[in-house]
Amino acid sequence: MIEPDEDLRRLLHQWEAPLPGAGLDARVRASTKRSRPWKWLPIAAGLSLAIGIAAYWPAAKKVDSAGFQPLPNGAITVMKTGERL
Amino acid sequence: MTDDEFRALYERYRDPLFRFAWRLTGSPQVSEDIVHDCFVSLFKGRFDGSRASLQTYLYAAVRNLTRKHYRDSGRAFEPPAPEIPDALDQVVSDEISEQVRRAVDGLPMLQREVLLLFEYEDVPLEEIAAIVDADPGAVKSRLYRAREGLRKSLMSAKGVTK
Repeated sequence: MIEPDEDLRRLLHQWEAPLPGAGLDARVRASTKRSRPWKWLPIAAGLSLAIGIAAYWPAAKKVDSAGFQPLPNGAITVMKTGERL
Repeated sequence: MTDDEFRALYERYRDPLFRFAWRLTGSPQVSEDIVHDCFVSLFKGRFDGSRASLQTYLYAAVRNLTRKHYRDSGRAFEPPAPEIPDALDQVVSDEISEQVRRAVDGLPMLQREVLLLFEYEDVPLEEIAAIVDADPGAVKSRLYRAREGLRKSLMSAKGVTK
């Protein structure tokens, strides 16, 4: 155990240290600013949902033109219901 | 570690760590850099509670960063150049303070860091041993020699003893 030397200690404490500048707090705060991923969670979830829905949504029905035959020119006849050619 | 826990640790250790760094380097700016880096390191989770106490970790970080600073700047770890007084109205207490500073700065590095931690920051010997990575017997010996050196240089200094 080291014996205390109060005289020496009192003398040593005449040498006082300054306090750190206010800028230190700001620097440490800026350097340790946490990114908070959970802040973006609702947006990410919404985007994922939208992408998922878009990927699995059934494609719009396309017109199948197989077997289509245009009418001959000038052969248009207007008929009433029940009439026969 | 939550933001609140980190902030509480910062508030608790900022000034002691700054004082220790300042007395080692003599430069407020360098000391602020060191304390900043020390807390950033803590924030990044580099503290391993199974190896040392938080206080030991922080003081050891300051010590290592101070050594790194001197290494990077290509300077030996030597006492900082004395500041030039910017006015003639230096009072007697400033003279004593200056004499103490010179006496402490005149100690070898290994004695100086032990003395600063023990006399100014009230860190127990066993913890100082962990901080400076030496066994307690060596720390005790360094402290003894540091105090002897200071007694000789300070007690004999004119106007300081009485």
